[in-house]
Amino acid sequence: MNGNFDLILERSLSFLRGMYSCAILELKGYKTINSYECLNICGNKLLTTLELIKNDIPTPKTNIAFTEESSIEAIEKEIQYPAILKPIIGSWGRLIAKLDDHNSASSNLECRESMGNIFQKIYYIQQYVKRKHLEKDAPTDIRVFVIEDECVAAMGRFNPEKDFRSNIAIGGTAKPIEITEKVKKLSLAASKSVKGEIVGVDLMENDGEMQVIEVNGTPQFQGIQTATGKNIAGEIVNYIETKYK
Amino acid sequence: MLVGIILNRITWEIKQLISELEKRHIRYILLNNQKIYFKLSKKRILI
Repeated sequence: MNGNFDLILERSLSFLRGMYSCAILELKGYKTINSYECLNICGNKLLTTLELIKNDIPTPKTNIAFTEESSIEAIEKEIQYPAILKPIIGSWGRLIAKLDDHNSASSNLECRESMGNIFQKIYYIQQYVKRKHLEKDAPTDIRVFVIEDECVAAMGRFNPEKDFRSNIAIGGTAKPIEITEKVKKLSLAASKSVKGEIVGVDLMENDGEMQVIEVNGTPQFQGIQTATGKNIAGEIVNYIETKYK
Repeated sequence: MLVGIILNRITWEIKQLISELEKRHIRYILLNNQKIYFKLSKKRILI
């Protein structure tokens, strides 16, 4: 098959396969959404954090360490317990752990050190964003669906009772929310910082400040379309038709 | 207009996108990365 494509839309659930397909297709001269560069940044939490910092976009306090010992030191000297340990590559909240104390930190880190793949041995340690100061019905986090210069939909996500994570894929629930000027400005800035065209931006309120947690380069939209009633697939196709036809 | 869609399985979202493309009479080709391979060379890359 050798199509003369006007545009390639990357919608693979396998991050690496999707990203490498775009790298190859870009070399052939095709326009891909998102670009290989964007997918590479968004698919890697460390690279995303670096871009957010570079562009002065507020994000939770984060440390990177390469060994179990230095990770413990980073948590106990800088981040404090509870801390969040995330794989730098991964989605749907998988393998994200809340480290409540020294014991849970060392056992989680030991597991990754002995059983994890190479990326799981890059320890991305983030401040745990406490929810106490927020109102009872405040969402755990916010997902904004961005298409170029527009925030087309936003939902508040709520973690299930027995989990601190709010990902829809693992049982989180969602409600539509209003897109405030602050949320809009941050979401568009975050999207630009990762060279995004169609992205999902995750935000959280931390000590009264809205911060960007991560940017998704292949954002799923079933959850946000269902929660908000917005036709996201229609918005995507409208956009590509208007811009690339 | 011809749109290529890289995917690894037909999900609800892919069906939604296909439906919207068809509504607008936009041609598309599904590039299932479980089934295709890329032939790499300096001159051209074939899917």
